[in-house]
Amino acid sequence: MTKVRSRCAATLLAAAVSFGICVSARAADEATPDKALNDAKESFETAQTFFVRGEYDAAAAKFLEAYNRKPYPAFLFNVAVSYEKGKQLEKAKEYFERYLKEDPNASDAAQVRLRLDVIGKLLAPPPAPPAAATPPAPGTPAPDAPGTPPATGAAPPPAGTPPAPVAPAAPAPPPPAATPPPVLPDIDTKGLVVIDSKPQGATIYLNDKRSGPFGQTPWHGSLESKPVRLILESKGYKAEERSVSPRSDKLIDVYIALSEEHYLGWIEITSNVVGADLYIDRKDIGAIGRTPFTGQLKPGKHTIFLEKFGWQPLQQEIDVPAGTALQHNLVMQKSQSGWVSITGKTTQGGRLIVDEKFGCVTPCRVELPPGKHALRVERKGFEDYETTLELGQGIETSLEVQMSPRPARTHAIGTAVVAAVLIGAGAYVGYLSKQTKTDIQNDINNGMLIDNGDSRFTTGKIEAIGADVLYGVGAIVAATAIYGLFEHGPDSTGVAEHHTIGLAPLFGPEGTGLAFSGRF
Amino acid sequence: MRAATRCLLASFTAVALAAGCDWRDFDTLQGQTPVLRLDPPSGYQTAGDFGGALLPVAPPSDGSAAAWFLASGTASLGLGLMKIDAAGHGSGQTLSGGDLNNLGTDPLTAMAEIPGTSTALLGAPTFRGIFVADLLQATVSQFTTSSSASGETLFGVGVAAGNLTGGATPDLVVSSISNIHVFSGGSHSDGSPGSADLTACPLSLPPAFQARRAMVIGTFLGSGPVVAVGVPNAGAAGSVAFFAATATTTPPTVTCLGLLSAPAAAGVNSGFGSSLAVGDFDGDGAQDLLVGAPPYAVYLYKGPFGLASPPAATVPPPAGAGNFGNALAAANIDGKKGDEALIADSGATVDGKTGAGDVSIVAFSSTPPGPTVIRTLTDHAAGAGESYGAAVAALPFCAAPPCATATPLPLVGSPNNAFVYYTVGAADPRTK
Repeated sequence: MTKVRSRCAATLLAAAVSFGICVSARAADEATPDKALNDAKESFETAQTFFVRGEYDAAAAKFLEAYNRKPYPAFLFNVAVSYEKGKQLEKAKEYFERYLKEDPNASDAAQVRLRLDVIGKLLAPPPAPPAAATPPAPGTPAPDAPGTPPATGAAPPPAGTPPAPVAPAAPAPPPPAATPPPVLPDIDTKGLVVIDSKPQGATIYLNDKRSGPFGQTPWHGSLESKPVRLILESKGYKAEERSVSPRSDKLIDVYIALSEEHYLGWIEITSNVVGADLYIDRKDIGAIGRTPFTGQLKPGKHTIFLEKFGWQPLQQEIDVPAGTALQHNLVMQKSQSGWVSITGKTTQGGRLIVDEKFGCVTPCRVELPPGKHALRVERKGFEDYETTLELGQGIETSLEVQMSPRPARTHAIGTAVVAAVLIGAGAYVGYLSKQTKTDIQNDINNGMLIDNGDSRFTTGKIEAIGADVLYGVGAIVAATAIYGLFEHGPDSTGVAEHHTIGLAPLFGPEGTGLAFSGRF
Repeated sequence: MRAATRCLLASFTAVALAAGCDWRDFDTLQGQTPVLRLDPPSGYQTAGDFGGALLPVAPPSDGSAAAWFLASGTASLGLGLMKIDAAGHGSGQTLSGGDLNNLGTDPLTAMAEIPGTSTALLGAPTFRGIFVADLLQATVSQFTTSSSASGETLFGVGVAAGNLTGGATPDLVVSSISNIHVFSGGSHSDGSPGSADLTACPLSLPPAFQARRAMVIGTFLGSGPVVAVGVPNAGAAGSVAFFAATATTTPPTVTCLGLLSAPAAAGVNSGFGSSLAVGDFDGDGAQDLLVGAPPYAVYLYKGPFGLASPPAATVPPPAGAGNFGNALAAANIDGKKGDEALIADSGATVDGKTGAGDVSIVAFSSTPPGPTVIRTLTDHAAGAGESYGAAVAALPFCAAPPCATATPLPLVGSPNNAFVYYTVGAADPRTK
């Protein structure tokens, strides 16, 4: 596995070298004036070559040389990794410890400490044999004890440690259950990104300015191995952007000489609401940042928009003179409205009706004046959910609605058809019965000597009873159909939660101010 | 929404129920039919042998029934007491037990009302005995004789009751195959004609006519009450023998008054005298005698008549007749002066159904007493071989006693049913 990984790394090295050249070429017109950094970089790349070849001692020496030229703690880390790969755990331990000493707040400090613990265990002398065992003669090296790291992958014994003796032939009691030896997880060298600018002190943003400032030049450190866009801004200078692709085996130095920008104006937008979306001149292209915000603007009049949920939108005209730096502190007012937020998976694609007017397509949020409102959530195939809410100023009511499916009508329609047939048949048979009765009555009225045993009496009775039965069954079936047509499923339900959104005084070590607060 | 649903359901149910048919309308209508068909009562002894012999009795004075009659089987024992209420609804009960057990299965083929007593005299010819039925008590008791009369063949083949001897109590007249016996005033000792009288008035009865002998009591000869005894013949013309009885002696003296011979007919008029009926058919106040001579004719003898007199009127059989005149009755159906004749033809073909049977209502004008068929009664659902008209009688109906004169209603029997006609006459007597 290690060999395969090494071959892959070698392949990657070729690509990485060419990529590094490419990056260096881009940086050439912005070459760093720091000769030491260039030398360190050269040593780093040589060290990486040795590292990939498995010549870990040479790699460690070259990383150490890079460190001596430019004392970046990452170089010490790589020295330690090289020694660890070269099975020199004591040296590895030494340099990991130096790395932590140099950069105690490193993002991977915790992992490095854990690693040092493992290395410590591997370097520790074997534990004393159990009391029941025959004690070895004084000066006789102890046999391998349980828990001793196996030879494979284990750290070599420290220099001067006598070789392990052959186990005595005498029978020994069965060893206790072996504790698995500590294992060092795989590790790789650390890449390095160095960002510098002229003048130094420029603000660094990653990818976009909405995330806020990342740091200031000069900056060095490790970044995630994925492409990233660097934005450097400094008051009175034209902002610059660069794209870099940090890697674990690369040292990328970015040096940008910022050009002065006298024809732009520098603005700093602050607000009593931190994190409000900031739009300049137009909103359709989206927010360009959040408060607090700094940046260059073309001289002239501009419209600033600030928006934040729970606050009234703010719009203000500002005048940006060329070559100046201005600060604008915009004060936002708390919103006078309340909000209703409809949530719940079953509301997807439904409609919120507020006071018998369409509100929004659910799930959604609507802003409403404070007061009592009748709400209804409708969705095809589901029972309506209706409720009345009293909304307060600055309060968001979150309504988690669980809509109940409305029973299918297919069966009811089929039942209605059967009912119609039954009632129709009943009407027909009833007609026959009445016809029979009329015939008999007519015969009597006409003086025909029919008797009480006339078969038409039986026929008429059967018809009448049959009609009644058909009517009755039809009525029952029809009632069932009607019930089915208007049948309700379980009521849709909703749970309301009220969130109060407002300003609250904030006292901290760095000052006082106002901040959002929410009670849930 | 749910309240609306419930309201809709309730409305729908109400409409559905309102739209239904009331089968009880047919029950109501069934009680208003112009004809009451009566089936044998529950427990009736013999199926299919119910209405071959019918005997209407004057309605009871206690108002327990508007009309009632006995129906008897002619082939086997079966006796039902049928009652009709004022609204015309029928009911019935089977008479059984008591002395009827003596009969075994022998039928009671001859019946006559004992006037004014709500009782009837019943003849059981094959048993050779007579019985008295008490309709009020719904009981039947055997009438024992003190003579050897009951030893005669077919004693009881014909019975009659009435004031024959002039006493206060009705006399009972019983015939056998060869004789008649008069039990005066209900006495159990009887008087019979002497040999000379029986020679003058032979009473032999051929097998073809031994089911029942026709006997009526009336004053149609103008010489006081006499009993007319039908003497149909076999291979020769039949006749009617007349006897008188006097109560001056005990037992009474029974004498032959002579024979009324059959007129000439299309064939041998052997059936002459097989059925008789007494009534005032011409409305002159005198009793007339109607003599059936199936299948050829029915003859009216206008009283008082002489034994040599030809019939005053002859009712010929209509087209399709089969056994015209097998049973006769007299009833004032139309409410006008004079009775009408109910002439049964149990073998008539009706609507192509042979043997379905019918009954003709015939009126006779006073001068000359020509017959007119004013209506023919049939079973509305007649079937071939039904023998509608096996018996016919006039059923006195009194919806609200006391009735000075009960309304006579046609009563027609067939082996399976009895039919009462309410609307044939001038007015429907039923209580609405």
